[in-house]
Amino acid sequence: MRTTSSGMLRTFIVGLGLSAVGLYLACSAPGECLRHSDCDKGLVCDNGACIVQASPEAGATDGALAVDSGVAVTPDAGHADAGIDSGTAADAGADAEVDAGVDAGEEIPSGP
Amino acid sequence: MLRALLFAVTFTTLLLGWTTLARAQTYKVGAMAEAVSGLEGGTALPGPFRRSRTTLRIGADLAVDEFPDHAIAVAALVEVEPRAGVGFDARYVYRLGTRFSVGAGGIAMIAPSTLIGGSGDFTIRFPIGKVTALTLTPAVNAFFLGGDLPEDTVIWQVVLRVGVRFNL
Repeated sequence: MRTTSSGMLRTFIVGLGLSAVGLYLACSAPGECLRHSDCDKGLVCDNGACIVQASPEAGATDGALAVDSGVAVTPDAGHADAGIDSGTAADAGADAEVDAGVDAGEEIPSGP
Repeated sequence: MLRALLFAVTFTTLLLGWTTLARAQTYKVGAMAEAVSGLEGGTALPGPFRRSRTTLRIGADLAVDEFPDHAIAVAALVEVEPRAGVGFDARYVYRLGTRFSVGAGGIAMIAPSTLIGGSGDFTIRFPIGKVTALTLTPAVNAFFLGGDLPEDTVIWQVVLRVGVRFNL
């Protein structure tokens, strides 16, 4: 009787251990970020996704930053992806500045 | 004058008595090396949890022979995968008999960015000699401060520390 109980306990412990290992392995591919340092350089973690950090020095307008915020990068993505995103941000910033310039130009009343 | 003399004598007596007591004390020092990993989650994580970073923990604990059940432990933490990081922890440890102990304290990562929190653990020792023991430590960490933490986020971890401890 004691042997049976001992065997059941051992089976239970082994099963529990295997379940824990299975759970651990199932979670072994981190696809989201939890900390800023989970992301590549220049990216920050926001709501579980790595996004391009909005820097005021870049000169981009709010519209450009909104475009940046929409670009999500997985933590596993390499620096190449980050570079592409940065390029996109730069383009967006440049476009925004051009747009702003055109708008300003249109607002100037043209005299005779 | 008499009062000053009495004060000096009393002070010297107390000081000598304390020094004698301190000299009688011996320190019990232990060193440990452990590998740490487990599950972690947080309010910002879309899923319920994920695997935490694999970390190496190298440290020491110190107790006085008069209070062998109470110890202070400090350790360096080195996160090795999938991202690197460096930090430390400091804990108060209370021994429950010869094989078990519980601990609580603070934990902080300092590079590449700061992360500060609290930690609690339960250690089981499996002696394999007079000075050596294998250790198995389930632990719970919670990080709630630091520059590495996204806004309005608390990170929790349930980890298992596996390692070896030496009585020095």
